[in-house]
Amino acid sequence: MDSGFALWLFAVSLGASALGGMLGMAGGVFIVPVLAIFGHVDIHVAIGASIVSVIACSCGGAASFLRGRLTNIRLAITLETATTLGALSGVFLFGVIPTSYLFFLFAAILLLSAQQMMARRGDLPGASTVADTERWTATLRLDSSYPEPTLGRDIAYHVQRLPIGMMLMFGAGLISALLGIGSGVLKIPAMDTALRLPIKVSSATSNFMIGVTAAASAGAYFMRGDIVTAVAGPVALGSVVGAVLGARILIRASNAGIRLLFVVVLVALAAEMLLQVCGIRFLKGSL
Amino acid sequence: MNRATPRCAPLERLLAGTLHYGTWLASAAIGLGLALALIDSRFSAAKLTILRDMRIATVGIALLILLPVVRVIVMLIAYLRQRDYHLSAIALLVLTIILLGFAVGLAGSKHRDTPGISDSGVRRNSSTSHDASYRLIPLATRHSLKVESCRSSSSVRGNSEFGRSQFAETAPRTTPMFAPQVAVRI
Repeated sequence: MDSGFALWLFAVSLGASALGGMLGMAGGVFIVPVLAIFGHVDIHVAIGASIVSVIACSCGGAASFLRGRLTNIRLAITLETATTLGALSGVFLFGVIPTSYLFFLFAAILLLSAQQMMARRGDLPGASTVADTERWTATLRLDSSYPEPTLGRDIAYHVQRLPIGMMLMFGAGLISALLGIGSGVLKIPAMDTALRLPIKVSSATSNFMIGVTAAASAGAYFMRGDIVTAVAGPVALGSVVGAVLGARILIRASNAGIRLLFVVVLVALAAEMLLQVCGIRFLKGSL
Repeated sequence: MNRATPRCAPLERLLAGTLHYGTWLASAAIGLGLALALIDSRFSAAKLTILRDMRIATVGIALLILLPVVRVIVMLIAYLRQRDYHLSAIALLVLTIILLGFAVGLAGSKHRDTPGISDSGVRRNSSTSHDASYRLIPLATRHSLKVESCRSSSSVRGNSEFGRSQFAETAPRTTPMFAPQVAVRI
């Protein structure tokens, strides 16, 4: 085992997860490109390692959200049917899609994340007045409430437009399995715009769900032998530590500053990935 | 925090505890495994112990992957006991899909790992598996083996066969499902 490389992996995933944790997401979206570009790790191995780190981030962070009653576990398990199905489809595509397409897709997701980061996320006004609670939502009793410390009381919310939410979640699961990320980039619009959840609830519920989603694909990759302990081990450890650190820093650092840092890093990685594809194309003809 | 959340349901608390301690347990296993492997690669050249030590880390990763599965099982049991059959069915469906994922992965690897069957399976994703093994063989066993450059496809074949036979001597009979697939790549 190469100790230098293991330490580098540990440090990268620590940094990535800390950075991601500051905005309440897993660090996979940074880990995969950094490993693939700078570590010269095969992108499939990088994705396998990253999917394990997504589970680590989700499980490590879920406890505090659950105790704070922010996670809607009934909604989470319902949406997980769609995300795990998506993940399973991603597993089938994973071996078939050429590496250069994975780079392209990843660059697109990075740019989409950057764009989403620029548009500020907030609670949509007037959402809960509609109250056209659908049949499914009522049957499964998905509506709930969460404690809002600034008001000192619980706020009730309705879950809306479940079918659209489920479809977006299927896409999120697919991207998650394919690219080894938590794919908050698709879950966030699904939960904010389609289901109209309060921002704290959607962050907590999304964090709770990504673990199960990632487990569906990670299980397949693990059994298949795509998860390499020498890479995935240091990455998983670094992610756990980074996620804990990131959650601490979140409380102090200024939000606008983090956002800007995020956008810069995302765009830089996207550009680097596209260059990589083109460069390799020039040199080798194809990947 | 517990004082401020009087309605924090027992299920939520149970899940929080499971995930919290499960993450620590898995991380500890991975950390221990990696630390042992690092120490080993520094101070000795016994290749068998390297394989064994990487196995501890591999078990840690397996634990981490199984943690969300355990979480779904806990939810399934809880909903069954609450006689909430809608959500029980949903939890069961999620569990089935995840286990299907494990089965798909197992089916994808089976023909590669069965001893005696030659390398036809290694070609599964020929363009990618080359690089993976290229990257990893020097990583895992740099100090104990003289690994020749294995960029070309012919030597990759040789190396993966080597990995398999290496492992066949040390493979634990108790965990036939987990260890072999990983060892092939290492």
